[in-house]
Amino acid sequence: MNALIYLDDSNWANDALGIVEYGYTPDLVTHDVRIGESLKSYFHKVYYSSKDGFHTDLIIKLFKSIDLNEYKVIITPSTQKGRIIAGIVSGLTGYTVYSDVVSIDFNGNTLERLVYGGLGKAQIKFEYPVIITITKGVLKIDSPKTYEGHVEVVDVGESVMEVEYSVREAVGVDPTKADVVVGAGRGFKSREDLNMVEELSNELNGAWSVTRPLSADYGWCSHWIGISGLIINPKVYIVFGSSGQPHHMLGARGSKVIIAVNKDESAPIFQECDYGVVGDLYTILPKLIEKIRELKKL
Amino acid sequence: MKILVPIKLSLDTSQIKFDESTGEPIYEAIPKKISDADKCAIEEALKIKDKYQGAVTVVTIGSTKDHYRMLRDAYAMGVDEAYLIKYDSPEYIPANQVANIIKSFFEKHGPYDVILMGQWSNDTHSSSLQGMLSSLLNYPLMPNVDKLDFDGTFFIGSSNMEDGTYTFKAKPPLIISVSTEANLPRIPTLKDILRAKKMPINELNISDYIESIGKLDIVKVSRYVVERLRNIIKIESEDDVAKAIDMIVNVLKGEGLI
Amino acid sequence: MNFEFSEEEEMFRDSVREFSERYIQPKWVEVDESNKIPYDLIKKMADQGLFGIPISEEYGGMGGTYVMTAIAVEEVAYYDPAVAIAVYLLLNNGWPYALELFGSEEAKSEILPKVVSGEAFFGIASTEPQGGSDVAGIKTFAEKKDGVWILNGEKSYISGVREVTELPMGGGWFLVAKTGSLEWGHRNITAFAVLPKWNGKLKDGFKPTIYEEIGRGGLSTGGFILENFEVEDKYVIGELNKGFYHVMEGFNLARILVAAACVGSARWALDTAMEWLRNRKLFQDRRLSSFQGIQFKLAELYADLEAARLFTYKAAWLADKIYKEKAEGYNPKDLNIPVALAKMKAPETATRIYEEVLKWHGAYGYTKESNVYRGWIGTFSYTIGAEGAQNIMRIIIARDLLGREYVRG
Repeated sequence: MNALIYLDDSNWANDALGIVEYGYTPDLVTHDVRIGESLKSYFHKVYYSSKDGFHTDLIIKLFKSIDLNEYKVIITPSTQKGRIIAGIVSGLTGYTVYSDVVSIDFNGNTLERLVYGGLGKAQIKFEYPVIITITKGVLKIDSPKTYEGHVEVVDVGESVMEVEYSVREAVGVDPTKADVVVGAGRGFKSREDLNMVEELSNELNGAWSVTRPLSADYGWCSHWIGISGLIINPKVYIVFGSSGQPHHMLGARGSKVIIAVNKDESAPIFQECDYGVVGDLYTILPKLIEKIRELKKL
Repeated sequence: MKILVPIKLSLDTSQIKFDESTGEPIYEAIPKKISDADKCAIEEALKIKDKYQGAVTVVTIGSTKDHYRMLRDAYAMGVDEAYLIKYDSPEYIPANQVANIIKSFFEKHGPYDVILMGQWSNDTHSSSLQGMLSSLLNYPLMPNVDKLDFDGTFFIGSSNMEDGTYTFKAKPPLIISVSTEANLPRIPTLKDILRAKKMPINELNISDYIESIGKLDIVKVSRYVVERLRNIIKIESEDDVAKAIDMIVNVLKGEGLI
Repeated sequence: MNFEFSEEEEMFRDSVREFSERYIQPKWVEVDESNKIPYDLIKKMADQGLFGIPISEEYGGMGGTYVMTAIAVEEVAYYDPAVAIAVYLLLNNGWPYALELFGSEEAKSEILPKVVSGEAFFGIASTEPQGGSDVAGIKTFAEKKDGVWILNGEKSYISGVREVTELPMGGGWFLVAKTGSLEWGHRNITAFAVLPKWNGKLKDGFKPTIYEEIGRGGLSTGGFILENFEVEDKYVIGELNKGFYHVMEGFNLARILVAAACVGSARWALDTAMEWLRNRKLFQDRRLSSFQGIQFKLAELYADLEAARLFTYKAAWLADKIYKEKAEGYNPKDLNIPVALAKMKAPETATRIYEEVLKWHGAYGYTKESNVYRGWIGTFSYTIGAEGAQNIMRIIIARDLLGREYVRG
């Protein structure tokens, strides 16, 4: 049985290669040459396009050159590009797509996917062949198997679209790459008070960000964590003064450990954290910074 | 310039309620509205129409009063034509069939120079329809645009994806999907609303656009509860503050961050 | 009978809600604290078509109904519970509409488009230092000399005095003055469109003062002295010496909208209170909402609010039958009782609701941070009076029920 995996980020490789544990042989398709080259030993066959970059017209050509009938399962990551690719493949094959899959039973033909912006999950019976967009952790494997890695470069020609890519301007550490992220919500009363958040993130050599209203409405930060903003997956996400709205938490769910500080004990964030403090951030945050500085001196 | 905007009536997820005993959503209690990103797509289409010559067509699949109201609202915003492809439970149609229906519509009523659509719908966030339409129609796709500009010839869109910012530049014909960051949709005035009252909602038979319709086999929908430890300390005294600080510090130490 | 709003009315309500959520809700506290509605907010409301709802398209208005006007005022008041913005809105819909009903073609074409565009203010100036309810007893006198009216007198407790002097175009009021004789009576009053500032210029003979009120500060209240103030003949509203009857019809129209504002603000109070009741826990983690005493009160207050709301929309519906549809068998006098009921019920209901809601909030309600008190003081101004004293409403109702001859002593 063969599975086709699309990747645009090598960090997702181990989150998709768990498919091999179900007896599937994995092939890789990507529009990014570097990813193709760096991961080829984990795949039986690797297809990448002669032209780099996210040109959807060329990506269609790339997929058209592959015999998609070979595959029982086609997997893409639950990222913005991953969802688009899943749609493209569905258009080409007629297979049904299931996005944001959080669990899958390959033998029982059922899967669960997120709905309602992450508030709900739908359990659905599916048929093969199937296209799934998976969230992190669903098909995770720690030591992927190795294969021949036979590369096929597909000549896709030129695109009708110009595409430019620029890395996100990170002022300081990039929250999407950091091990620890400090977050700030509407409990903060002014931009100046966010300096404490930055201080804490500096003490921990981490990154900091905010919830959407602080960025989009108040302009206190150029980015925010949420389904329409940054998706983070640090070891620890410690967030102050946020009530834990679904759109925000969808951006933060990838965190290994979530710590929340909020003075409202009925805030939804206390359902979604590992450790929580019902208290005033203006008391807790300065004391936390102080304590960490003390410990670092020892 | 002919612009097609496919729109979807979705559950207003800010008002989701689950039944405590069955765990299922209480559908009757959840209001429906146009997906936020679709509304932004209509606004983007109207902006193009305002500046350059153009006609904006909206199409949706459904049959309820809410669907008619959604199309009436689109007329109030300023669209030129609204179509309702009649079907009772559009939410069970697999997305790739929706794409095929829109493709048929495109072929029968188009061609359109631009398809402008929302990045994803409020209730499913699948974001798969845009890719499907792109491969079915063989139109290039400019996806998830936060800011769209058109100079009369070229569209320039910038998108914030997880790994960075993408800037796309292309001429029609093409498909563009927009995020809710793209604009603040116009609010119709009373005059616009009274004018919209007179516009026709064109009803179409779904069988003219697709031969057979499948049904998603949804076993159950329930609340998604993320498994977390939920160790909570409530501050009621100075001692609690110290306990809370220690708890946080220990977690950070445990993860090797201090 | 039909107790439902039409689809256009629902669509209009939703549009006002969306506008208010976007532009008014973020600013209402600031407006109340700074005692000023920023001009750019007024401009946005004008661009949205909110100042010309019942005004005919001929004068730049939306050509809508009075029910639609009440809907707009109710929704704006929900997002501005301190009601200054809602009152600014209602004044600049109600009194311009009265001008459209009674004013000269010249005055209408000149004044209405400027109110609709947000550039000018047009309210009511009837009250004087010696009394408001006793309109027949006003002392401001208007005399015609060489084809121009000369006005002398003093008006007090007038909304919009500062706004008239500050808006780019200016504006003024539907003003009533004695003509012919100063005797107490109804048949020697004429209504005028008095514009102390017009085309950006302040006229001579207008001496304003601004008061410092205890609440609803976003809209100014003040007084002014008119000293040989000149008013051209085209600005006479309606018939000579019939001004008392015209202004009474105007008051009926304005009172409907006042009731709508109180209903909107009180609805916010109840919604805010219910959130508080659901989340506030006392006495070993018990929700406030679980105490029956609170539940009983909530139900009673809600019933009163719904009653006030029904009175308001019935009066608005009747106003449309009379003035918009000009339906046969419907008369301006028919509005007297329905309007008195709405104007009596709505402000008093709002006051009662706020009192109770403040108590439910406990000490927190007494702090500025809770913001609830702003709606309490704002709507209380209408329980005191404004656009019609509460006891005058009672007199109107009783007199109609019992018969004029039976109410004299």
